[in-house]
Amino acid sequence: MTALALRGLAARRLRTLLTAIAIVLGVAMVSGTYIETDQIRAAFDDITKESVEKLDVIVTPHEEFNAQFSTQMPSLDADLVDRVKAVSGVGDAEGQVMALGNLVVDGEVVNTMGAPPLVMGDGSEEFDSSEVIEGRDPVRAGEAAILEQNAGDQGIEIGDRIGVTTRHGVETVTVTGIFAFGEGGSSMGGATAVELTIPEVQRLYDLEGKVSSISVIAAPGVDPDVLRVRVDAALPAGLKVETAAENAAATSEEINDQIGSFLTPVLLALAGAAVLVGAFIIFNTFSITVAQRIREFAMLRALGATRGQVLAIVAGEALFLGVVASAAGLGLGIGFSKLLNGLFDAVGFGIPRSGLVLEPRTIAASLAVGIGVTLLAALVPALRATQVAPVAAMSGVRPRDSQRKRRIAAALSLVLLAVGVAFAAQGLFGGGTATAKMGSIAGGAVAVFVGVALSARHLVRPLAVAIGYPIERVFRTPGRLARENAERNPSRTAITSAALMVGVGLVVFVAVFAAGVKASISSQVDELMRADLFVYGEGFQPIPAAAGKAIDRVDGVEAVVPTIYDQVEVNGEDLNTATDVLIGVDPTRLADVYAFEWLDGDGSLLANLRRGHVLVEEQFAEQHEIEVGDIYRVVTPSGGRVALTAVGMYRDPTILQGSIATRETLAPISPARDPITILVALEDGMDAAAVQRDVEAALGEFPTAKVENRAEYEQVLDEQLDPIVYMLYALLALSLVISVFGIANSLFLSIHERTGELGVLRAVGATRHQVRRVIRYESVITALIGATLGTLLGVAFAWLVMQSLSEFGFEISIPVGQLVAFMLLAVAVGVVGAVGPARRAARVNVLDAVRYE
Amino acid sequence: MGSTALATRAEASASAGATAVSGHELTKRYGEGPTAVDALRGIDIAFAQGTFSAIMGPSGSGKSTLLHILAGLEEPTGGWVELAGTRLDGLSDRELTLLRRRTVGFIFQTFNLLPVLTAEENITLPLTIGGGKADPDWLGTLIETMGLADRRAHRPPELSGGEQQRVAVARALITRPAVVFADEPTGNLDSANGAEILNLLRRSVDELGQTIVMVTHDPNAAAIADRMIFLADGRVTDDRAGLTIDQILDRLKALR
Repeated sequence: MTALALRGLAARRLRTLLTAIAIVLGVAMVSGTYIETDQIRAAFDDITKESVEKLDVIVTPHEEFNAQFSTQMPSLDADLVDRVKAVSGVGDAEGQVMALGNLVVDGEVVNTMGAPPLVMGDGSEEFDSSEVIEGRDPVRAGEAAILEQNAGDQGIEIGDRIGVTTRHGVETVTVTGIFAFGEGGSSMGGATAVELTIPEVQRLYDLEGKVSSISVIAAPGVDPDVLRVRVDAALPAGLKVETAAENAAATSEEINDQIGSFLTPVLLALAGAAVLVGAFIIFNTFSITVAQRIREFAMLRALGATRGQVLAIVAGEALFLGVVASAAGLGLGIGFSKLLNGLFDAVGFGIPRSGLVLEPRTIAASLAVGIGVTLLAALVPALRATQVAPVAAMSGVRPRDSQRKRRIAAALSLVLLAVGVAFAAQGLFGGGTATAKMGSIAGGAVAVFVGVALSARHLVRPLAVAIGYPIERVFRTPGRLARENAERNPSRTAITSAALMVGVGLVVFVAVFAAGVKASISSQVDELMRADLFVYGEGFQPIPAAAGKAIDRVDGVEAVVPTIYDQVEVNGEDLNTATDVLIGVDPTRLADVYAFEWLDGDGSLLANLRRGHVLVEEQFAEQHEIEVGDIYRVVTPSGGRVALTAVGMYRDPTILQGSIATRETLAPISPARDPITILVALEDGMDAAAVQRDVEAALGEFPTAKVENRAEYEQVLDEQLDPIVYMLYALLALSLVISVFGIANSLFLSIHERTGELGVLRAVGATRHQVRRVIRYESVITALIGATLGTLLGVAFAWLVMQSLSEFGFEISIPVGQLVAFMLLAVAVGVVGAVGPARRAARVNVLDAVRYE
Repeated sequence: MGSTALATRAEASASAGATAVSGHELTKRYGEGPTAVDALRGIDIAFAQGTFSAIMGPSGSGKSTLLHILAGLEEPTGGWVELAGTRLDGLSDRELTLLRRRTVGFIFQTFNLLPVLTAEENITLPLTIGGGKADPDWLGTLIETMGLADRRAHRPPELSGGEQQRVAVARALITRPAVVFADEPTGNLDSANGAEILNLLRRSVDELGQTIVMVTHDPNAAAIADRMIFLADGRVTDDRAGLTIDQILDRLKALR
């Protein structure tokens, strides 16, 4: 029986190959995702391990909780270094300083693509993890060493003069050396790193008398764990004292959490979509071939093959296909991870990564997914094969599902649909952890897709008539035949188009969702912002506070309002990184740049906002059950604590989220001094463009600061989404590619069935060209059915998600132009999928075909 | 050597007079209610071992249904079948399948060979399905007798229609079944190839003691049988031995 299954596959090479590709690509995405994220992890592990390689104990500032964003690097008193040195068992200790500052090369700020731009104090040889590979370390003010990778990328050589952005403007330094971190081969992604002398870093970043961390080397024979305890005991409470190993492990774990909680699940979800598309194709292919082999199975049954043996033949084919395709997919995953690399780079995510990492988990997951899905998708067709009555060997009757079975199938698909919607809604509107919600939504979406695919057979006829109408009008008979062919086997057409439906549905979802978010942000900016100019930092990093003063001096500027942010933990409750924020501003000028939508209180609050008073945003207030008049406690990541009184409530779910207080309220509890944005109002009657130019000129010393007017700023906010959207499109495109193979496969099989018909068509005078046309339009109609269903589902999903986010001011917006473009793309998928089959159909020999029956 | 080998085996397996397959009070009704069709309306029939019988009748007479029921491919609505000493009623699908595997051979009008297997593999398929192996002598004899010696490794698409049907005949005989059921075995063949197949079937009865039940509408095919059974409207109208082609034609005309 096994031999029979293998022979069957070998005899139907083209079909086997096309079907295998459906699985190969999906599995490649699964394995590629694991390979890529493992490489990112390994790279961060390398980097963190190397950075503490020479050390035994590390002292870092207290961290109250792990904030997702931090606007200021925390620091320690430099005096503590001497206290550490005095601890018995300490060989030596040194304060390290580190700050954020961008490289400026040829007057241009070097974009780090979201990675940090590091400025480090050059430590002594025995502490420093960096190694000069060319030139020498900086030894006096005005000298710098630069990371090898940056030097290469930017074409910087020893002796060159480059700029480094500081809190006080651009500092020009001469490159004296080029350094590297250890021997690990990992790339640093987009990060930049420059070393200055320690006093220079302290001077330029206002860290005089401060250090970022204290590195400790144990005296010979002293165990790091023992030393850690001793150092901890000698220092004031509230500092973090870790062994180097603990420190590296904690950093790695944090990074792993970030990758594991976002990147891996998102990529796996996209791989899941591709696998689902593949599953439809496998299901369809096996369904069709089983239908075509009814006689063969019947004959085997008549000769004494049991149902189990028939099952074994079909399942055996599926198993073999699954094994080979999964293995191929696993290998192709290496290529896919490279593709991901390129994609990340292209959209501007500068993530470091190591060389190839192939974990056993990757192999196991790829094989399990590939083989499991293939077997599962082939199960129903295989079971149908076992239902073939032996007598069909003589009569050729096909088993017809009874009315009852059909009704059960219809009911099942509706139930699946309902369950899917329920799960998705539960995920969107219900409670639970983020992971549970995501799982719920993803599971719901899969159920909806499968449910629609199974019930789509009832929609095929009306859709085919509607979609085919224009084609029929233009191309008459070929158009008519194409439409009839598309609807003559509704189940087959339904599943074939469902494969495309999944890809189109997800693409449309992303497009509609992104359009909604953009429209919502734009309308919020229009409604709430009175500022004429918006100043923000490269990569939304803080801008030096001095920039605000520079803007103040420009003629025509009415009000300059810097906004300083810090994360806060409220009443010890779980952290919501987006909304648990305290914004320090000058409230007396805020009304010049911002229009409050008051829910409780009014504009008079701003003039009298006292220290300890706070205005709370609706979402923030709801989340922590705060009403005006309530007092609540906040803690900042650096450990600042204060009780605040809510004195007013406003609504702004997108721009100034969280809570607003005076800068005097924020300053004692937060090290943050530099604003995230500076909102600028111009005097009436000024030439806005001219003032904007003047502001830009005034910020010459702060090249990371960008100045945009309202329209430009809206566009910047819009474009923030674009890299993610484009990345999703690129990955979803693979699902579309898989569905091309699905359409081709299904057409090849249909043509095989209709050889006789095609011969008749040719015999009565249809040209080869016309025959090709019939096939091509059938394919286009099938593709458009899938695209129509996908578009409807995508819009419906996006609507549902927008509903769940309506409290954040999100509203649906349909990007009609894009949806039309996707439809055209679907036509292209249909045309490309039909190329091979149409050619084969046109080659049918008239006589052979007629004799075929 | 072909014919002597077959003859020796015939003597060894002959146990004259015993019944190979029999149907009792067989009725078959398709569908329900007013649209129901009665394909068989009460048939009692038995086929002795070592005989060659032809079932004839016009379209819709029930001849194919009778064959299917006797072969255990379909269940009768009423009555029962005894095949090689086993009553079929009450057998599970699996038991029925295994019984078919051991006791029945089939020859189909459309050959029904597996295109992915060679001629020889197609012949031994009924044995390999059961996990068994062909007796090489017997296989050799069959291949020799069917004139397929130089076609063993060919696949069906490379064979002529006559050759394909000879493979099918060999496949039906490979298990030495109690009964071979043949459904229009010459229906897809030209007269020369058809005659050759009939001749082979005849020899398997004469020399081997094989039992054959054949459905056909071709008087030339039927004439080679020992016994002709005529069906009309689901009933046996005539059951004779040794009719000539003309006599068969007359009876068929009368049935129309």
